[in-house]
Amino acid sequence: MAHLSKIGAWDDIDGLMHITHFDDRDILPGQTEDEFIAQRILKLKQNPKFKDLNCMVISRSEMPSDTSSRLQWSLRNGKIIVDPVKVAQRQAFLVQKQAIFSRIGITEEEFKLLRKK
Amino acid sequence: MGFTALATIAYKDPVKVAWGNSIKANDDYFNTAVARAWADIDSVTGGSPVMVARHNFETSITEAGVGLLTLTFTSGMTGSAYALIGSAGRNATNSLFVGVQNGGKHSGTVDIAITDESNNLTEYGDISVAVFGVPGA
Repeated sequence: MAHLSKIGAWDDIDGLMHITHFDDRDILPGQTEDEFIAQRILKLKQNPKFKDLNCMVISRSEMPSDTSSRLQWSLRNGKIIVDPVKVAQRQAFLVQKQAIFSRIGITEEEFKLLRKK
Repeated sequence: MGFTALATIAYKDPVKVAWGNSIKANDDYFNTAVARAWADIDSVTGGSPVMVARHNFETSITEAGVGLLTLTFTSGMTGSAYALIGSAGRNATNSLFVGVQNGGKHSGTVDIAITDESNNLTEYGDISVAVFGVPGA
C-alpha cells in the first residue's frame, strides 16, 4: 500500500483546503495513474461539498510537511503555501480570544473545564 | 472464494433463511443486517491518513482540515438514509469521538469528524467506522 506521488488539492470558498491522498491499491489493471486520479475526482464531485470546487493535482512534495499550519494553507501556482493572510487572520483571532478570557478572568483551560460540567 | 463473492451469490439466491422468529429473504438480510462498508484508518496524527483495512471503501481519503475526513464508497448507498458507527483511540488527555459531519451523508461519500470531549476537531489515529444501510442500485 502506498500513497501516490500526486495529491488532489481543493481550495474551498470557506478558506479550508481539502487534500485527497490517492492510494495505489485501487488502481485497476491497465489503468494509468492519471485515469485513476481523474476517476476519484469525478466520484468526489458527486459530493455537494466538492461539486463546484476545482481540484488541482499537484506533486505530494508541494505540500508542506509541517501540518500544524494546516488551516492556513492556500494554493498558489501549483504549490501549497502557508498563506500569510490566513496566518494574520489566525493571529488576530487568537489575540481577540485571549483578550476575552483576560476580561472575564479565566484561562481557556478553565473555560473548557467549565463547559464540560 | 472471498466473503463478498459468497454474499453476492447468496443475495441473488431466492432461498429463504431463518432470522430470529421470522423468515426473511436473503436479500433483506444482506441488504441491511450486514455492514455495507467498514474501515480502519490510521496515521492521522501529524501525517496523511492511511486506510489500513476496509470493505467497500476506497483507499483514497480526502482531508478537509483537522479531524475532517471524506471517505468514498466503492459501491454507493441508496441516498443518505444509512447508519454510521465510529470510534477512535483515546489519547493521553481526551476521549475521542467519531461521527458524521453535519449534512455529510451522501450516496457516494461520507464526511466524518473526529472530535475531543470539548467538541474540538482533532487528529488522531486508530479510527474505525462501519456503515449499515441499503446499497445503491
